[in-house]
Amino acid sequence: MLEPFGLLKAIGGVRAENVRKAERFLGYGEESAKPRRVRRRIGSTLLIAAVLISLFTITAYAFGLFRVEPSELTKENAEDQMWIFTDSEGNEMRWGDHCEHGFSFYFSGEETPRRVVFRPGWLPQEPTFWFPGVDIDKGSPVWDGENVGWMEYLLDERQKETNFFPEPGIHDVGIPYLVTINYAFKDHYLVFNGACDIVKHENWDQFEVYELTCEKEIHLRPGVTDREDVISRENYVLLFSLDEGYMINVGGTSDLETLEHIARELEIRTTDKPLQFAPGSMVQQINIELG
Amino acid sequence: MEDTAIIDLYWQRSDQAIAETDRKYGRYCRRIALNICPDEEDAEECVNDTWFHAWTRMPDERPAILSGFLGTITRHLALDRYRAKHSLKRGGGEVPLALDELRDCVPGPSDPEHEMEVRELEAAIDRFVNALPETDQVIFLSRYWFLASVAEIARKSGCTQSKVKTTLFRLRKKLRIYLQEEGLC
Repeated sequence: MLEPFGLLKAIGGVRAENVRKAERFLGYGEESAKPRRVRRRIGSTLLIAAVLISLFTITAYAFGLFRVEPSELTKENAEDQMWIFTDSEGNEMRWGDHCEHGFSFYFSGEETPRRVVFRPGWLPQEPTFWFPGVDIDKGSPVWDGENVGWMEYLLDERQKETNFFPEPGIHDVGIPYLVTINYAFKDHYLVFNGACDIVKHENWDQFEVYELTCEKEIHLRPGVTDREDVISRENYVLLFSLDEGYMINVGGTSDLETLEHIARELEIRTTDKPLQFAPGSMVQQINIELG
Repeated sequence: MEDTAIIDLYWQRSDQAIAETDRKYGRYCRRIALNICPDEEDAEECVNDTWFHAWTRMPDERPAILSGFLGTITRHLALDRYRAKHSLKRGGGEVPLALDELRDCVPGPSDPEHEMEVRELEAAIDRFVNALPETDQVIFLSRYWFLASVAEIARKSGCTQSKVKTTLFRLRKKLRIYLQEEGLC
């Protein structure tokens, strides 16, 4: 029966040309035992630096099928996404301007992802909504109070403290948790509206995980009301699968410990159904109240 | 000196052969040995033993890629020395960490009565690695052939350590499935 040390030794039998690629990557290759005197010229040094930077960029980009990185969204590379709501009296209110203090994840997908489903293993309280209502394979209800099936969206939405004209201060938007799935498509931005801080960044087996807190100001339209700005505080645990091009967003007003518990207990499955994606915009805001 | 010229020195039984080999590949082989045997004295002995083995095997052998030939010898010697000197569950360096990681690929403790044919396993792993995309080859071999640390691989690639660990996890999973399908595990 195979054991780890035997496997480690047997890896030594890999053909030399492949080993040489790794040798060159690590820079362990041919080195002279004596230092060489090098005459430096500024021009050639800059050229070498430029080549190295471009090689480094290519190498870094080439690793992994999908790539995600935090980046600042600028007015030059994003649309100005303004959701405008109108109340019964015809008054308009806008929800945030992410170009002011946005935080975005940029997916540069090279392949089409496949549809992903999940099944919660632990929840702090029962959800109020889930999708689909019927299990995609069995046809039975996804949630009947006892049995839980595979789903793509899960929401716990309690009575909201806010309304369209909230009192000033920090408000609970009434979403303890929301679990959604976002997919990677080329040149597609996922954006948070609000000032975000990365609390944790780590690796959970096949996932690259970011935990964020986000404070979002709700700017009321000047002249419509004399209310001051109000603030929504939200937390997020984001699981990025760089191999399969999806991100599971466990967000809400619950604390990060609760959201992390939900995330760790999720059972996740990739189906064989390719995803056809036709976004209305290449910039998608993923705050919880807009999930 | 070109590799072919160095190999010719071995075939001619020239006493310059080892000096030239040490000059060109001494640091390379020492680096491989140190990744496995953090003790410098052990690493130096592995390198010296490498020259002895190279002298013994050439002539007869004329390796196409001398660095690979020498590096493989050093690696085997260093792993054997490590195993002889240390408990595999303790001790510093990358070997215990790599072994823990490779447990993902194998089902359990060794059973000497049913020990795998080494050559068959080596050939299977070679096929597995050769079929990988080059970026995956490089990460896998950097970690499990050269025993480079995750931190070093991340630094060289410009990726996060988290990303390197994710990639290695995925490759180990693939290797396990491959070995199971080949009936080797």
